[in-house]
Order: sequence, then C-alpha cells, then structure tokens
Amino acid sequence: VTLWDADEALRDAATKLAGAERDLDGAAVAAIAELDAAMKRIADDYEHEPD
Amino acid sequence: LFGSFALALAQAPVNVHVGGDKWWITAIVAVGAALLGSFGGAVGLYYASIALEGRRRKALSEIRRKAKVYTPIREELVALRRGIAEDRHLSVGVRRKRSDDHWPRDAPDLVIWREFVDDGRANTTASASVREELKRVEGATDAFNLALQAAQDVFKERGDALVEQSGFTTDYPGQLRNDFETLYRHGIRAARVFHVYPAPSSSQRDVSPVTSAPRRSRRSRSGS
Repeated sequence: VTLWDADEALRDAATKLAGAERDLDGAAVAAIAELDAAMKRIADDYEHEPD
Repeated sequence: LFGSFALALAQAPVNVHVGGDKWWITAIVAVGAALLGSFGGAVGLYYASIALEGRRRKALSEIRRKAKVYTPIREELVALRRGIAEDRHLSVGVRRKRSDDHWPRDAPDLVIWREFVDDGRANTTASASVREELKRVEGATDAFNLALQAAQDVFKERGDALVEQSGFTTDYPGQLRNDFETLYRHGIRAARVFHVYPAPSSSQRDVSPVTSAPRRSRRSRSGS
C-alpha cells in the first residue's frame, strides 16, 4: 500500500478534481460544436454562401 | 401583373390578314405583344432580384446578429480549453466574473455568456440548444471550481500535518496551498510525491546516484 493509497482523502479529492476537469472540457467541446452547428443552420436556412 | 397581361394577350385570338389591307394591324399586334412580353419579363426579373437581395440582406443581418453573440463566446470556450491543456486552471480555477486586478492574469475566464444573460441578449439571440449547452458549461465550471477548492483544502490540511510531524517549517504561511498546483501537476499526475521507493534488495530499485531515493529526499527537505 502506497502513501497515496493510504490517504483516501487526498485520493478522493484528486479523483473528483480530475473528473470535474474532464466534465468541464467535455462540456466546452460540446458547446463549441453546438455554436458551430447553430451558425451553419442559419447559413443553410438562408442558403447563404460566404462572400 | 404585366407578365399576366402579356400572357393573356398572347393567348387572345389574333386575326392574321395575309395579303389584306390591314396587314399592318397584325404587325402592330405582333410587335406590341413582343414588347409587352419583354417588358413583363424585365419587370418580373426586377422584382425577383429585389426579393433575392432582400433575402440575402436578411441572411447577412441574421448571421451578423448571431455572430456578435456566438463568436466571442466560442473564442472564450476555445481559450478555456487551451487554459485547461496548459494547466492554467489549477491556481484559482475558472473565473466567473471580470476583474481588473485579478491575479494570476492567465487564469481562464468564463464570463461572456453570463454577461449576455444578465443584459437580456441571451434569450433574444441564442437558440435554445445553444443556451442549454452553455448552461451545462457553466454548471461544469462551478463543479470544477468547487472540486478544486476542496482538493486544495485537503492538500493544505495534509501538507500542514506532514510538515508539523516532520518538524520542518514552511517559508511562509499558506506555502503548501500555493504549491498545490505544482503538487497536483507534477506530484499526482506523474505519481512522484507519493512514490514508494523500492527496497534496496528490489530488482526495480533505482540505483542512479542522481535519482535515488535518499538524495531526492534530502533535496526536497532543503527545498521546503
């Protein structure tokens, strides 16, 4: 058993932090994709070609 | 209107007086029909081009209106992801409000969408799906900031206990908390702070005089 395994509080905190970090990055990626899709929908609706 | 008129005129019966005295009437009717058809076509094209231009202007207006909101938010999200990749989010987390005197200055922000919400532009400009995704980002940001704060508190508590037990004193109050980022990045991720050195008899023991356990231990003590 390493010190890391023995100290559950540290391990739990670091695990939760890593999970929250992944969730945040994933949410940012999804939001960027949705913003891009929204702009594309507008252009498609109006059959707009960039100048 | 003119097009319809020309069409009705073209479909009307026309008496052709070939070789008669009124041949010029036929010629006038033919020429008039041709002129009216051309005129009607030109008017139709004119109105069609006006409609097309109006549609194009509306498209540009709509795209510009959306882009004014979406573009800065997108740039902020891209910067947030870059900040995460560069570990600039581990010091004070992700900021949710603007401030001129904040420190460190390179911490990532997530403020623009909230400003749009606060001044009312969010509901009139952003689509429902975009609002939903950005709400999710805000929730994830708040959860991350809370998890970061909790982890920093735990590290501070454990660090203070270790220092107290070891008999050493830190250079200044809160030093261990300030060192959280370094501990987390280089310690937890690289699994070195809690690394257990192999026993001297272990075949995996690092025998390098530079990286062996006793030398590393002395260096870390003098560093703290």
